[in-house]
Amino acid sequence: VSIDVSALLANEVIPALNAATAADLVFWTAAELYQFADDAVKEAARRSLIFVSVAPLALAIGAGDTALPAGTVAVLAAAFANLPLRAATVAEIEALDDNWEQTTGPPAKWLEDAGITVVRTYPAPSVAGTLSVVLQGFPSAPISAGNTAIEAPAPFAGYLLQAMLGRARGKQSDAMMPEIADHCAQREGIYRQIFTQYWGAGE
Amino acid sequence: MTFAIIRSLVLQRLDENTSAPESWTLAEVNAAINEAQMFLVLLTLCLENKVTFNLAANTVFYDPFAQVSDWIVPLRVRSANVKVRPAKMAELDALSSTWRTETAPAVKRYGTRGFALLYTYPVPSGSGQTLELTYAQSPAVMVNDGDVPQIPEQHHPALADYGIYRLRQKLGGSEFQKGLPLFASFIESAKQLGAFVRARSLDQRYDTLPVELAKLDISRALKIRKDLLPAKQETPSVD
Repeated sequence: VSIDVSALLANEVIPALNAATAADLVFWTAAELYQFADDAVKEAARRSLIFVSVAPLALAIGAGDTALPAGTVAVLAAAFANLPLRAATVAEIEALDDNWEQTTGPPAKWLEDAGITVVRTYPAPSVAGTLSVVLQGFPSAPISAGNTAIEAPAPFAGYLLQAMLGRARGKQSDAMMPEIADHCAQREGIYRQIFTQYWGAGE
Repeated sequence: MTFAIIRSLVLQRLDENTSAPESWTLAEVNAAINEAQMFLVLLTLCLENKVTFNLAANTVFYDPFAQVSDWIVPLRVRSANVKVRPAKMAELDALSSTWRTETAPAVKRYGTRGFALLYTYPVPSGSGQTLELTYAQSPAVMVNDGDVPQIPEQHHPALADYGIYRLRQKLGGSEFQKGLPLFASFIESAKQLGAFVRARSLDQRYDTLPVELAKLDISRALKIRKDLLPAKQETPSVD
């Protein structure tokens, strides 16, 4: 199922901001409101394990740092040629092998602190193969007027609604309502607590 | 109660004309009531459904939304009439290093990560294998006047409470403050329903239980910070 953020905006957010259409908005733009939704998606995705995906990464012989897909927050698990790898830190591998960056062989571990946007195995693969990584992340394409669909359970729309309304009402303007902004922030927090209880904490 | 009756209740209690309100559109009222039902269901997992979930040959990972559009979380999985136990990936790694490629005629373990990742062990060797999947479902969006909320009828008044509170958000200040007791009333209703569903889910040995509302920090959403309210206009003193 996809939540259509444009429908949410048109049917609920814009009327709640006392306008009939996006063109009638005085203190905000539609682009700003989409940005508020995108910010909220990323915040929820960072704090909770809600957007989890599997990505196959092709590793060549001796592959070092390999770029992770856009939108990755953290690697949760990895397998090379369908065999699970154990997580390890660079410090652990350095203690094990002085020449670890050049060592090749069947990968047995993946380095969880190789870098924010990369992953690598130890040893580096001696044969080319696929590293299958399970990723915590967020949708790689930001929510915008040109990208309004987000795959999530239908009640997630309520979270996006509160996020857009609260951030809009927190913006400095004649239509600012700090009490509503604060309340919506509390509601966002309740949603994120629920996400964490059902799907687990992130990072 | 039908959708139309709940909408009328909301508008009457807002002192509005039930067919042509002035301060809100009918679409806004409808959206607030639908949002109420969605939120109540998320809090309580009170709606469930059972489907046949198709597995593909040599496939470990699935996107449940591809087959179940109203998916929230799994409650119980059965394969070949036997309960499939949930397992974390780390547990499967410990169980067998070749779990991602082992095949068998029936699934023994399953797990989910995030909204949309479901995995099974062992994997089917051929096509045609299925799971009996019981899951917490999202309610259908109510559109027609005669639509009836899917949540238990004794909780339908809570949808009106939430609807009024939500519509008052637009007004801000003390007008919004007047709606907060209704949000508290809605949460009380959710607590009752959630406790009932939780007890039932424990009896049924479901794999996912509703959130423990008592453990959620809701209190700050039930009141308004006085320092954020708009200042009252000063009235000139009459001496």
